[in-house]
Amino acid sequence: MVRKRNYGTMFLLIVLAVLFLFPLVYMLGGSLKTNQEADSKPETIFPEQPQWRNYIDIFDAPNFNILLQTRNSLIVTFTVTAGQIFVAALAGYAFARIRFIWRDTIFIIFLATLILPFELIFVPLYLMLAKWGWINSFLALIVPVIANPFAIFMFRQFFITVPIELEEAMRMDGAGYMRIFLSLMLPLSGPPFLTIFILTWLAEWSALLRPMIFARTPDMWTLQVGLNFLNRGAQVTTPTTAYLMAGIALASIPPVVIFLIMQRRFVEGIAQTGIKG
Amino acid sequence: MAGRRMRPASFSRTLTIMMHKFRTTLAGYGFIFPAIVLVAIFLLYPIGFVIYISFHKWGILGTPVFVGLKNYVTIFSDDRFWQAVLNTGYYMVLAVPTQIGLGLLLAILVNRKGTAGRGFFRTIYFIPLSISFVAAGIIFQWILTTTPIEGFLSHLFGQLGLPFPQWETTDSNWAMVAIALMNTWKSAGYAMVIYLAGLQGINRDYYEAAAIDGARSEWQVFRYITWPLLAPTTVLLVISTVIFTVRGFEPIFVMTQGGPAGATTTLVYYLYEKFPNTMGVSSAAATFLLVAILVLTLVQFLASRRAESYY
Repeated sequence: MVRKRNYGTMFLLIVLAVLFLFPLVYMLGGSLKTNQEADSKPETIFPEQPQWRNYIDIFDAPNFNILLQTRNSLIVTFTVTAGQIFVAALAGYAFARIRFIWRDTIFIIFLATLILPFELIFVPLYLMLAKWGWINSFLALIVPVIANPFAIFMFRQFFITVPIELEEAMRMDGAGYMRIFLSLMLPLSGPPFLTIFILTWLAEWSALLRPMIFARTPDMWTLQVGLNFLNRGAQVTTPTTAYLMAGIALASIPPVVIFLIMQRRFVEGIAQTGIKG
Repeated sequence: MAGRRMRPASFSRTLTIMMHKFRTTLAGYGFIFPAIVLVAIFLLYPIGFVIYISFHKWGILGTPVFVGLKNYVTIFSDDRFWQAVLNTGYYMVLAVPTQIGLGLLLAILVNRKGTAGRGFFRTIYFIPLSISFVAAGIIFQWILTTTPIEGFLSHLFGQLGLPFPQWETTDSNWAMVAIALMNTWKSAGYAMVIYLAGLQGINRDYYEAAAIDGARSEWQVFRYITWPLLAPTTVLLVISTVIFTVRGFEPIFVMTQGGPAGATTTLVYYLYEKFPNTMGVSSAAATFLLVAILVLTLVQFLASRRAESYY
């Protein structure tokens, strides 16, 4: 009885796994076709003759700017992630442990902004950045998203759990808030650090709307903007569909690898808070 | 005598307390300084600014002109705006239940005892979440395309003699289904993880009690034990998934650009289309959506409190 049911479960698990993996297999298959084949025979999964060279040729294919755009993406993702962690660790500690005036009011206002999607405020942001002359610069791609109330919330929730006795012992020795933060709290904050790192890094690597609006010229585009541009029918005379598949396959490697390495942290981070990165 | 001695003591104590409070407040604001400045400039100020813009005729060139409620009149009398409201609802109805339903199924399957490789399967269902909407959209476009050439699935349907909707052209109602399908593939792993946490939080005693009480089928156990106890998780998921779906821009932008014939133009896509030439109109739509999200969040919050008190 029990055995029979488990075979059923196993069967369903495998069928679903095949369905979930299929789009990725299709992408890899497409990336190994010739451009003509990918364009004229999208119904096949595997190439007639695998074109491994696609993964080399794509780097100097016309309109593809993989290296430069990858560089842009790396600059944006790592700066935003580091900035968010820096700002959020400081603020999270204050919200958790320092009793300053209006603390709870400010914290609630911060939390309330969590329901505010970027999609609703990109117009005013664009006008502000245009006025400052920031459009088409890394400043525009990075600075507006450094303050992440969700990251602040994560750090606060973590710092609250640190035993107060540790802090009091240091205070007895005459340590101020900054020293407590630097030599006690920060070294302990591995868990929220990693959670925010993976959630923010993945979200930033995949982001499209913000870099698309705030970066106007191809040399400032991130990888996602560049690949999306090619998909939306960049005016090219020869098909580049297989290159495009290779491009999105390459662009998917860093997030998938980071995800596989840090999966446990990712799952815990999401499950703890219920907020999508 | 005692009074005279008390007064300076209490005064200096008050002073010490005040000094202490002043110093902690100073320290507190020092720590939150970067956060408060950035939140004020890049999150709070734009909310006021977007409302301000919505009362103006505001193009990319020229000076803004105050026009009162004209932009609101414009959107409320624009058929495409109301179509966008309906499309947003349609997308929500298609995407939210499928994503949550499939997530629940995956979580229950992965959580079953006695099957091999559960961590392995969980990883597979979860991988699409780490892939960008640009990549996912491009892949699904090529799998589902019908014009000018048949993609994988449309070709397969043809081989089996089944009709496949021309979602990119004439069967415009199916365009949103294609987007929702892609979104479900990409996001079901998220619902799965939240449900897994919920399932692991259920006390095993309930199941033993149910077995003693004669719960026979697995369906009965699910219907009367698991599902009610997962209610808070479901509410949380519905809230976050609804908000995520309403703000969904990238799936639509990558797969259909709002088409065909505006069939996938949601509210967020509508306000993107009005940018940058008619930013006043775009901002009026954004303000409308902001109010809608506030109301939606409030309703869901109240509903979740009722649900929690019920179970």
